[in-house]
Amino acid sequence: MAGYVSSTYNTPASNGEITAGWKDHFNGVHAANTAIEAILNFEGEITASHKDRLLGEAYFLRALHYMHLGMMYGETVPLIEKPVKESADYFPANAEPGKVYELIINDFAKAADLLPLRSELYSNPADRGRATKGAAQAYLAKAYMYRPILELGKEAEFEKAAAELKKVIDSREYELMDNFRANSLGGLKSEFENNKESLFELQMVNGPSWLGDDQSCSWRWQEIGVPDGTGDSWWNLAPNQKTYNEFEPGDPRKFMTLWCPDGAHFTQLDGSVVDWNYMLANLPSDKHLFGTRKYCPDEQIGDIDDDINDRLLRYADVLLLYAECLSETGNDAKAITDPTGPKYYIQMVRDRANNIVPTEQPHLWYQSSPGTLPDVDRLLAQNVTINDIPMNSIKNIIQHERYVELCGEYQRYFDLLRWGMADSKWLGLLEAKGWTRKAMYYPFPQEELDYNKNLKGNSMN
Amino acid sequence: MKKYLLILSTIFLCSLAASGQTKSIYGTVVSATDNDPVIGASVQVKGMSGGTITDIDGNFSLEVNPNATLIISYIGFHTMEIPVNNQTALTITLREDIQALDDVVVIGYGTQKKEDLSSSIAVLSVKDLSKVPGGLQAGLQSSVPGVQITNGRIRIRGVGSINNTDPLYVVDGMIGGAVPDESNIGSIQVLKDAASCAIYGARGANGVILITTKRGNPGGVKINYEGYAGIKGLSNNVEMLNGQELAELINEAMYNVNPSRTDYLEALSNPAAIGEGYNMFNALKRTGNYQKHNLSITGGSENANFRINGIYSNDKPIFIKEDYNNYGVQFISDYRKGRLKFGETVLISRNMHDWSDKNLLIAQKWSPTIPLYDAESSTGFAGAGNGTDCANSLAEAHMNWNKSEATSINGNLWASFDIIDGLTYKFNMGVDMYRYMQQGYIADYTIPYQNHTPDEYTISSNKSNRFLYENTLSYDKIVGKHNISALFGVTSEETRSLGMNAGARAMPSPDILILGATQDDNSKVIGSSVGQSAMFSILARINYSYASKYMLTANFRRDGSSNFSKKHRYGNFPSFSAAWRISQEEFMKDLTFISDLKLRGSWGILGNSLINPYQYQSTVTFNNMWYYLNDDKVAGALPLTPANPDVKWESQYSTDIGIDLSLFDNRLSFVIDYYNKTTKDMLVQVPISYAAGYLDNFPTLNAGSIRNRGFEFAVTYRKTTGKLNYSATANLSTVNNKVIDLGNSGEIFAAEGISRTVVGGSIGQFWGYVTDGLYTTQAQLDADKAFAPNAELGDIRFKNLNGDDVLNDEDKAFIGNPIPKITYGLSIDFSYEAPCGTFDLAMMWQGSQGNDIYNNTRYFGEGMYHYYNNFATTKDRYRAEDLTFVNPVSGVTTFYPKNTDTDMPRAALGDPNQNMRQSDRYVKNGSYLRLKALTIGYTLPKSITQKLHIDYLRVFVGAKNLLTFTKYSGFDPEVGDQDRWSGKNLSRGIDGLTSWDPTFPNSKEGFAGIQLTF
Repeated sequence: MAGYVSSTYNTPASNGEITAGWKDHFNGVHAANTAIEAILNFEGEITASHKDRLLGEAYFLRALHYMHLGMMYGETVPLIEKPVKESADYFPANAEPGKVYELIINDFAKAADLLPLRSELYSNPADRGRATKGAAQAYLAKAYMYRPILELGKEAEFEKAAAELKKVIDSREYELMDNFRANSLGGLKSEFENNKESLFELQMVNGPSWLGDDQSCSWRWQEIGVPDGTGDSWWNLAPNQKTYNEFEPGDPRKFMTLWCPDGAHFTQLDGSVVDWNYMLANLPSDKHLFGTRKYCPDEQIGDIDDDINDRLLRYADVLLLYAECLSETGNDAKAITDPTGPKYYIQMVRDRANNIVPTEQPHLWYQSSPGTLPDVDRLLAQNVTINDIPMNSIKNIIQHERYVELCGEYQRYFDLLRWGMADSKWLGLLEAKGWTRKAMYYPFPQEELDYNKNLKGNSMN
Repeated sequence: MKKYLLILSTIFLCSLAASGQTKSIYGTVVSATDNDPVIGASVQVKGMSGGTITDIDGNFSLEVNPNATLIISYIGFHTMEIPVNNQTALTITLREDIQALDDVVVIGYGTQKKEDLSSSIAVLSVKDLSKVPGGLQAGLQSSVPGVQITNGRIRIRGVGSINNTDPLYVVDGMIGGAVPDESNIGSIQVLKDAASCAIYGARGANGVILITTKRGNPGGVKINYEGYAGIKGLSNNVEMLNGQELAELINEAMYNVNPSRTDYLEALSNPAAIGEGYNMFNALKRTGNYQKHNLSITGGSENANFRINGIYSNDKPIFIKEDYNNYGVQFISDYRKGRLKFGETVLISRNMHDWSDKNLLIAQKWSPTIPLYDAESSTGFAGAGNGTDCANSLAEAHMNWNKSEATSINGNLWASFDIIDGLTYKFNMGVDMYRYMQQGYIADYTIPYQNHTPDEYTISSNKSNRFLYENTLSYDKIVGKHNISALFGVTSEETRSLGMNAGARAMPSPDILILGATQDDNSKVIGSSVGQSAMFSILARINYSYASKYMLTANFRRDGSSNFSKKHRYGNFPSFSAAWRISQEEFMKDLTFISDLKLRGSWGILGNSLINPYQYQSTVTFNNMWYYLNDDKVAGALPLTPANPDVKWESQYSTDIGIDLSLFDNRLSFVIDYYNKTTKDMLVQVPISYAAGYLDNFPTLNAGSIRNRGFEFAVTYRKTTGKLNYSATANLSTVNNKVIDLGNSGEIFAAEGISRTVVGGSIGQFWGYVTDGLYTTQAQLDADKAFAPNAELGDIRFKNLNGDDVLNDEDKAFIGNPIPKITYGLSIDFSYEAPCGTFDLAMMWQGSQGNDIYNNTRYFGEGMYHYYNNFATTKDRYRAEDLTFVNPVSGVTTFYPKNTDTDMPRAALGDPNQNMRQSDRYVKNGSYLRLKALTIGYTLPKSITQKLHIDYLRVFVGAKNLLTFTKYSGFDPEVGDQDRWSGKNLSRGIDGLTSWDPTFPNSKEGFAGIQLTF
């Protein structure tokens, strides 16, 4: 989130984006708290199911905001469980250890209990995009697995997570899209948004922003390296050579994730069609970088904004998380066809990646022929090494598969972090980039600390 | 008439024959200023009782001893003694006594003799107003001590609050009245201390400007015309690099960061071929012009008089696509029937403003290597390029427009009745009706970096009605040497407003701007607002003076406002003042050179009610509270402002001690004041934890305190030597501003962190890094390696204030103060009466000393970090060694000479050392002295005007801001601030804080005009 500063692991407390993120998340907590209080005290007429749904959504959002706060700033952020109205509550202190994790788990659990299934809720199209039971269960599982980040010094709770993920899988509410690229396409009333693979996403609409009527992603194109029509671009979020190398030969996802050699073409505003070579030639830097095609339309429109929904949680992630839980609980040896073992779920994700994508640009090979990723057993047998990590264990393969499947979806850093809390070799990958344990979280915003003398910063302050 | 005189003469002759000692004379008394007859002037014979007064034509007749001396006197004129010397027909020209004109001063809800004043009130001569267009502001700024004006904002005696500190205007008793056109102003009083302002209670804390309009005069109908026209331009242009110079700079900036690179922009690879290039800022500039015409018709009789003013003015500012047109009609009349008097002042005005939004300061960033126009483009305007991403300001200026139209009726009607001698009841009703409508349109257009599709049309309308009702009883009584006057009143005021706005996109055509015709129903946006506030007040005053020697005044006002909860609705505002006219004492009688010496003192409490209403209630926001589900909008609401039920008035405790001294028959006069005013319970938005969830909306608490104290001096010298008159007035004031308390926050940041207000400091000081010149030796670089790892020779040396190894917020310090230590003014007037006419010359000088300006325009203007254009000052950039640069793209060679004797840092693409960061690099001394106005006039002599059958004709030419002495290099040292719309006081002295709102309203102007009466 915090632009180019984050990659240096040295974000200053005065950074505007970490301040904005802090404010907005707590504003969301305030809204959720206000809603929870109001719904619980509501005395007018309302059906029980309607009330449950509203309450479930509020608990879900409060937990989601706290999960993100915990991931970014650590568990010592203030714990606000009711709307702040009295001056006595204007300056909250740090949360006690474990309390933020407890709230996240409790709230997701309540939400999972109260919310209806997706098929039931989305039967009314006007409700598409709301939180569902499946979303709450999957996030509950993810929170169990993120515990090493959300509650320092504690281990992930894989068995509890596995139970929740199994509920999601067994509900048969979700399946992988045939086309990997469907997960990064969107637009007004797009069939790709809130699709069957999606558990929860940020709803974007590029409205008439001049009239204050908009919720869109601004400048994303310039940020990810696509030329903006004048030969200039920012390349602030440009993947590096290592990311390019992580993709196995024959993986179509590389070309759906990156602007890269022999990759997709981009049509500029003036109608000219350009490729990665053109983009790099116009990069005002001597760095060797790639662009991010995921979430980027292939044709430029006359606007700095776009309205592709951000997928926060999708079924491929659920499958890989479940595979990880099964792996961590000692099921690595189980056969690739056995749904109680991890290989089965990793293979589902790899199988989908190999699908022909007929809607792709015609010059791309996988538009007409399938990908050539080997299955999990063959990958293990080949004993290849990708970016210095041998593909000789299920854990390492899950690591690799999450890297390529979820590249650009804000997962990698937190994956390395949570694994690294158990096995510090994963932290080595971060340390190679200048990361230190002190820099695990963003600092608390300086303004917050200036205003609120009851609050102590984290290790980065 | 002559026949009548003849008869009179005959009678007098008879008596002359009888006495043998007297003879009959007759004469006319006229004013030296305009040759108008002076009506009601007293004509007495020296040493004798009795006499006469002049009639409606200024004529008189009298029976006198041929050797007698006549004494002619009239209020506002110098008394003259004329020996009769056997003449029988006399024309006596009375000269206006400027000092005496001020004899009666308008105070709140009444008038008072100047000599009886015990409070601090400055009177601005109305003659100053007509010297120059915009004379009210120029006059206040240069002639009234303690008044500071920047960017149209007036501050009286410092800044008493971080909140709105605009003074209160009272016009003919109408609180918040419309300021009349300068041609129609009769008098201006600036009330500065608690004693004079307390009668306005909760609205008096920021000072009060009392204005009266010129009334009709008894006598024949007179027509008066005053008009002028002028042209204007930027007072100081900031030179930019041309195309070649920028290309050279960018190539060097790229080379400096990586000498082995080869990726130079091809378009900039041959700088000489680019040549001058294109200048976006100049394309937006123009020579502005303005004109104003005021036509007045006056007349009346003893019991009824009128004045009707018609006003038209037009202003075309110095940047394109903007135009003001103002129309006004003012009706003024006064009637008397027995003990009943009534009258009115009503101004109906219509103000039209056409403009387009344009980013003036973005225009400075436009690369001069890129044309402004592009015939290929659908709009005709070019898009940015060559590495830049600026919007084309010229395209912007042409692709949108706004029009507003404001209509207002502002004025009051009053009636008074003398119940018994000295006891008067007065009813005053004020009306302030305001109607405003604005349209805005942004075309459908697409050029790089500016995409606006589809088009958009918005319309908004607002009306407000304010009614004021005042009932006062006043009583004046003189018993021997005791002079008592008292006032009691009850007033109420109510304001209601209603506004609505609507907009839509995708209009059928730019010519069919009807919201209902939009092609996109979903784009329709509507909104509305309602406002309501009320005030109820009780006021009282007692004046007592003994023999015009000892004066005491007590004021009291109790105000109730709907802005506050019932618990804190009322505030009490008392004041007391006393004065001692030492010159009236017996022991002073021998010191004849002292005309007047007065010592005065006052104390009181004032309120500041210019705050946001209803802060005692929490507000629920519906605005921007929505989310999209299935791409359809779902609206919500959220409480977004924490409430403070205990919010109450800001109050100001104010003390004033002053001395008035006049010497040598009032030719030399001094006014000296010391003031100390402390605002308590100042409303401060106290920042609370963001974790409370209210974003940047903070609760408002009565938590602050600010003190202002200082001295004011004014000295005036006047001299009349026959035909030559001259006068000079100089004034000087000081302010010491100190923040005493800000609640538990202790500090307030504003203006993107440039302004920091802390307890113990003054309001809005500048905050940032401290610099120590440039790195000029390798030893310096080595020493600072830890905290300036990216620095090279020619980068800025930031000071490592806290001594650790990083340069961060801890190394920031206070780097400047926008509040002047001293402000001063000087007005000089000459007039010379020659046979061929009267020549006059007036100058107004004005200046400030000891204030700093944070010139934020230099952030980009001297950034040298990107492909944007830079100020021409960057040509003097640092260069450690000669550089012969061969461009690898074109092979073209450019030679850059060594340049180390400079404070301009090196050019470096991307600014690795962050030379641009907020620092004292941008802080410059903002002191200046400026010839605010210069006018030269010529008045036709009476001999000619008589032939032309006119009374008065003066023509004049002049200039504004003709000379400015300053070290400040920005557009104008009179930097305003972005807070001016909110009235707040935290971003003063910051030039160019935002690109769309430059703060240089002052332009260099030349004008010519005519004043005509017939």
